[in-house]
Amino acid sequence: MRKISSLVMMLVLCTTLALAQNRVVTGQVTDDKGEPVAFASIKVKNGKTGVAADANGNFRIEVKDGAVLVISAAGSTDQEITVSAGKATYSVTLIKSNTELSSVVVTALGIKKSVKAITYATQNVSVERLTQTRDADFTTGLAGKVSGLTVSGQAGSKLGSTGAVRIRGVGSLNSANAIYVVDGTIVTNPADINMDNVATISVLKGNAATNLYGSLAEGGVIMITSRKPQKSKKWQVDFNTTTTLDVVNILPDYQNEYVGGGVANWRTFAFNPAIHPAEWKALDGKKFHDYSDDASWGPKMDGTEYIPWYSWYGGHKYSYQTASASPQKDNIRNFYDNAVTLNNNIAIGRGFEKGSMRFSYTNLNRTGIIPESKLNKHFLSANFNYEVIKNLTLNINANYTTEDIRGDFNDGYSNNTSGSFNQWFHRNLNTDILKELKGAKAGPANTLISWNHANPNANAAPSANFYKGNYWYNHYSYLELFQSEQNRQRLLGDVSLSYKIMKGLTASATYRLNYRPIEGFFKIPTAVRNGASQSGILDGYGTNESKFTEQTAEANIGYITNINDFSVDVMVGTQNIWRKTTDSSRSTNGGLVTPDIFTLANSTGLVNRGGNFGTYRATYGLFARGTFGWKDVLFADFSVRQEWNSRLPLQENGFNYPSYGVSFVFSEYLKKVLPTLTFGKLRASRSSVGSVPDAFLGEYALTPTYGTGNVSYNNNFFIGFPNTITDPTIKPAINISTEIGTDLRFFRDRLGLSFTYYTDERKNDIVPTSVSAPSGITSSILNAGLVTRQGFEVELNIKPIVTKNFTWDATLNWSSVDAKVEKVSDQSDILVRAGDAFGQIQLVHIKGEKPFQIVGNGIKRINGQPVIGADGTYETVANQNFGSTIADYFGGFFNNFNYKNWTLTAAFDFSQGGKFYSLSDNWGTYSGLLAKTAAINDNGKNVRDPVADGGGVHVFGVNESGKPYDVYVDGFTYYHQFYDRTPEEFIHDKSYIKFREASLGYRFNTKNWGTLGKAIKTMSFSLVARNLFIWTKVKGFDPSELAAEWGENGQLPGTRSYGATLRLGF
Amino acid sequence: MKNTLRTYAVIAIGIAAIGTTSCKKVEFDEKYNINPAPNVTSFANTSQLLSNVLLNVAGGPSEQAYYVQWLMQSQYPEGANYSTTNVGWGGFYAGSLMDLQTIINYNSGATAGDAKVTANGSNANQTAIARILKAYFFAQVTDRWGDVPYFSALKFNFNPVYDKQALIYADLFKELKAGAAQFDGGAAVKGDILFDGDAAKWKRFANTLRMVLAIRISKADAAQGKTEFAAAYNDAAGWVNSNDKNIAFQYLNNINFRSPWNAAFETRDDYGLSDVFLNWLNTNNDKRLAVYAQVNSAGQYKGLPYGFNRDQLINWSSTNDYSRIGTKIIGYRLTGAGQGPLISYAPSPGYIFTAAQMWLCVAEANALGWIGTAPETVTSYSNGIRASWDQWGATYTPAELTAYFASANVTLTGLSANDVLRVIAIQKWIAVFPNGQEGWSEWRRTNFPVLTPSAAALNDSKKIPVRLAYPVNEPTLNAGNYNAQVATMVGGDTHDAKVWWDK
Repeated sequence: MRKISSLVMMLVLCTTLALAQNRVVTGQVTDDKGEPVAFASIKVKNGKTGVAADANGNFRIEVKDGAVLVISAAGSTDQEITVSAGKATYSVTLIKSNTELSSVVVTALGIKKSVKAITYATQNVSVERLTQTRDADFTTGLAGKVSGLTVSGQAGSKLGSTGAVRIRGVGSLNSANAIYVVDGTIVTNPADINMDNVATISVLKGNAATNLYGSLAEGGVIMITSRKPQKSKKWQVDFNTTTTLDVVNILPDYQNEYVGGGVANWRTFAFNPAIHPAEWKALDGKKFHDYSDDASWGPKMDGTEYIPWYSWYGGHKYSYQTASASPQKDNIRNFYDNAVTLNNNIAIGRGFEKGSMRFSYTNLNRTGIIPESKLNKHFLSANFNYEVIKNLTLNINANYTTEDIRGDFNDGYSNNTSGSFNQWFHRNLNTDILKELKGAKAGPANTLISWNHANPNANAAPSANFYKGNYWYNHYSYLELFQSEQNRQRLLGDVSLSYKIMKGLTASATYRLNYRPIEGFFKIPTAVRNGASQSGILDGYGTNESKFTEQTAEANIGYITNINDFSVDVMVGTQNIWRKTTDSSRSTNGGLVTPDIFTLANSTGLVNRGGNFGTYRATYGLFARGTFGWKDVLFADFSVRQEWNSRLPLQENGFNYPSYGVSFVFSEYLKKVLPTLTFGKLRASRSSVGSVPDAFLGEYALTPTYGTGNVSYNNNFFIGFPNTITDPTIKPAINISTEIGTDLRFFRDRLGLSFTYYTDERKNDIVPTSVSAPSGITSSILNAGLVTRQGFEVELNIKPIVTKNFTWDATLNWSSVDAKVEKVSDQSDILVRAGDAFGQIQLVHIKGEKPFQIVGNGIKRINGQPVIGADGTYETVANQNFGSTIADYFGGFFNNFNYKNWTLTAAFDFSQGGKFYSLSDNWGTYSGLLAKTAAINDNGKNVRDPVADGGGVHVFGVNESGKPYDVYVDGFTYYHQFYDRTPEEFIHDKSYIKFREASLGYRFNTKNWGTLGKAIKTMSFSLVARNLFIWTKVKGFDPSELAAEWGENGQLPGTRSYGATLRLGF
Repeated sequence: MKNTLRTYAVIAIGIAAIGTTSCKKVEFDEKYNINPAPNVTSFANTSQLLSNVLLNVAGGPSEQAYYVQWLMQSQYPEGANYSTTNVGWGGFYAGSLMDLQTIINYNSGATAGDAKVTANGSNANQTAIARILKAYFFAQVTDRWGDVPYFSALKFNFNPVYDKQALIYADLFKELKAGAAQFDGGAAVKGDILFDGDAAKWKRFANTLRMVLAIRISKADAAQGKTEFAAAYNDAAGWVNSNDKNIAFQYLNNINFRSPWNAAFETRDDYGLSDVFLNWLNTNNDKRLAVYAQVNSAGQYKGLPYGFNRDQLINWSSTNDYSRIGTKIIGYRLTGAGQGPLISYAPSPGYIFTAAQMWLCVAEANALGWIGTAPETVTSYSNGIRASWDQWGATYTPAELTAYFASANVTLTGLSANDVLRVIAIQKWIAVFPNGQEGWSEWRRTNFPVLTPSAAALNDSKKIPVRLAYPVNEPTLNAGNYNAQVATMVGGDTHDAKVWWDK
């Protein structure tokens, strides 16, 4: 397919000057890996003659013997060869100069274009840079390396999940994420991309670039081209192995002064032989803190002898013994495991008479930082191409992945790891003892024991409840017992035939498949249900399976030719996509009848069933595109796509949108005036793209429908009128963009600068508009919003130092985005999009503001000063706007240092502006877990000390009449006021600078190794590290790894990784 | 030249391909069509809508049960300390009320004659039930929030106007009368999981509700209250005047249809009887105590101290050892938190209107001179108490009941007119347990029993809420009408602003 589309796209750049009779010399330009360099320029030194190689690097030129040919391609060091008598064929190897300035860009539908002809912003990312540290997660590898691209990373602790990639921020009321296209096939989940197979990546940003994908790609496209087989007729074998260690990175700043419980006093145990177990006599008169409350507002952790939670229970070595209440500074850090990732890849390939083939196998084996979590993934890929008959080429790409994931990755409120440690916990818990007592049981009913149990009752024998957890389990016990496993498979690939009808005219047809079956189950043993009285967790069993099948048929015919000074490259084609999904899940309802029998038949109530119906959708596309060039200097480009979408109303399910642009390589005319300007281009485009957002216009959304249930009350079934109604005449939203830019290179590519400015207008945006419930419904989906966006992007490539042994090259990218909601809907100027688990904040769109504002109750202010009530707590006002979650500008900085065989890289990325809300901060404050709740005030006393003794939080502000007022408020009262009154304290700045990746590598000179060196052609070894450091305004949370658009509910901690990679080529 | 021709040919084919296809519309293969969607219907089955409404006709646990100090939270007492202000109403309007409106819509206009509609009962019968239930749910709404959208509601009008509660009440009376009169003897209604399509029971429901609403406006519009009460009281269809006529939704011994009181305790055990309520029952030797409450692990009835904050609760020596709600209500025994697997899903009834409540209403109407005479007050009052004891199967001897009638806090003998209303109100407070909404409405109207606000109140006024504030999104979604409404309210949209009938 690649070859065909290259042919189709070939730009023939011959000059037509007739010179003195020469002879014909042919050749192929390849890179240092033997892969063809498309469109390389071949010129006669000091002459006027020049040609361009084709997409496969082949060239043909007429020269005299003795002429010197200068072969150059952007991103490579120029090469000179001398034409010697009698030799007609030359192989030229260009060494890549490690900048981003490749001469070829893979555009929509896999079409390769010369950079000269591109009329919009795209960016290539070198695979070397992306895989420098062999990050198992494709998306975080992209962070900071592409202008206009942001990654809202998912913490590395959540195995199998990937962050979302967003291009150019947000330009609509929905946040469309970029799609991934591997060799032309749309990939649903970036986790399915095997980084070891990636040859090139290009990022298509605006509408003009993605126009040919239509509504599928409104969020931009990450185009990925797989490694292709070598032409060489020898087997080539590559082997990579990486071992990485992940450790917990950023944790909140915890207090280490006060033990757990809801009250600050020690209580004393009075043994009563009539009702208490005899062993408790040893504890008579000893102190204990409140165990039942899961906060840490207990007495001081000052070495007091006390009865820890586990001492009450027999059967272990700490039974009936006291301990000293002392700080456990690293109890949380120690809880998480050091996780290991093993990533091994082997690839073999070779060329043969009429084609080539390549096979690759990767195994990714990870354990997570959360105990009991792991992932095992196998990637298998095969590429094959073959010239069946002359001019007819068959190309097959096939990828199979199977992935098993086990563990609890819940990162919501009150989850059983971070949701406890950062929200509800006792700071005095010793992690080692929790681990030792994993699975321990006690009491009359032999139930799991927990740190959060009922307090001993002076008047009653310990009940069954005394032994089990109140809200929480021993975290180790829970993670061991709770089982959740998912198996995800994926078959992705394409078969294509292309036929070269005649010179310049090529037709091709492709069938693509993306098939993703997923199945999984969970088991919650009865011991979990019986192990806590109020955890909300019942025993149970559930299974789920889903299938996603997307088939694509493509056909196109293209023609390329030159007419005098004009080049023409036109194509028409179709792309029809059919998608079918089924998913179904079943789980027990109300617990298990017989303990620990994990079958659906063992459900107490009627089995819960989810999903269980299929959806079908189809998208038909018909497109035409063309690029017209004049003297390889001026290009005009157009594309138009007509699309029909089955999710739109039947009476009008088609829409079309055009795109057109120009580019002008002005440097051709400045060679004399400005010889340092190697390349200079201006580009401009205008385009529109339609959008049928999945989130609100899924299949069958148009008519109010009544779901049916299988639950019946004496054979009466239930339906309800839907809460949301979609406008039956809804139209696609439309996005209209204008983009201008320039690409400049100076000093023979030592300096490259690319600049893009764009404006977008999003009309008829489709949103579920909340409506007043007395209307009979709570929301309506209709064409409403209007959003405008503008921004610019700068990429700078420099090579400050280039000497024989030492080079330094660097890439800096910087992007700014500014969007504005011009209209929400006719009904409202505010649209609520999401909120945290407690409704403390809402993520909304407000007319006249940037999209995605965080609103909630705020602290009342007079002239900027907080208003403090008589009791010292803040007065609040409703519906305060805390700002948008969207960053103002962001970017990255990549450095590569080469010294002889050594390579050192360092990648940074940064983001400025935007807010987020932390629910963990809210509860961690409320629960007295965080350091601020036990800080020292300006009297040198702890804020928890009585105000009368100089303690308390010193609060400054004004009183209700605006007069300055300050007061000390005891810490408990001060830090309890925020819950459900104002989240303002927990809204933080998202800005950060992150030292994301570093590597130090050494390339061995295997040529000096004699026989061994003949076997091992290349060998390199590198040490890698990720997430080394982050500079933030907020402390204790990583704003670059937020799970939700608005912030986090109980997020898992991020990880820092250290690893080593060995690469071998045979 | 040849090249040029080829170029033009390709472009021409492309344009022709796009041009000859209708750009507006393409027929997809049938399964890709959006209509009909698989496994869902776009024609609602009215019997299923009715079943859906009736599933929610009886209430469950609510914060109102804290406001009247029946119950107290044992761990996080924010709700009992009035932290909640704005409450959403989508479950009423976009839930039960819209379902009922849909039944009415299907039974009128073009779809009225559709066999899919008439298979579920005659148009008149379906409409009659829907109107009566609409009145019932609208009363629930206006009793909570006061002035609410009524006349312009349920019509997909995104900016509905607020109507005055007095006008709403007048229309509710009208609808109840008209609804009861609409039954036409045609095919019985299907999907009626409350009365199985029995028109006589629905007429009785309508009369009973009219009496309740009439008493509710005793202070705001006594004249209309008297008229409506007397008319309903004397209506041939009758009212709930004996326990066998009690209107209750029957929950099943089945996890899907168990009592919401049962569900609330499944993995949570964080409230019990308040000392205020429990102590009243205990000191007055009220035999309903054994029904309403369980004993603690020491075999005693012990209420949670009303008005404690969290600290006080933790330090309270008997935390976790207080009286839980009775087994007849929550369906299984709890001597401590969540002991063992549930043994039953409590096929307990969710009472909507009971003979006890209605006889106490009648007693009050007697006392107000709306109907009957003074001696009838005593009879009605006694009927109400006896019905309440019997309703739950309280264990008592006739002598115990007689002694109870004669006891100082129960007897009507020698009381002033106002005190008669007071003791009737106290008995109603006990009789309608655990229906928090009804208990709260009656307490707000009568101001009896006299309740002391929680000492740990979290609201600004530190008073017991007498209204729910409007949903938090109304100021943005329906700004003009909301602002106009709030401008008419004394003190604004707070839970201290009294509704019209609360004088």
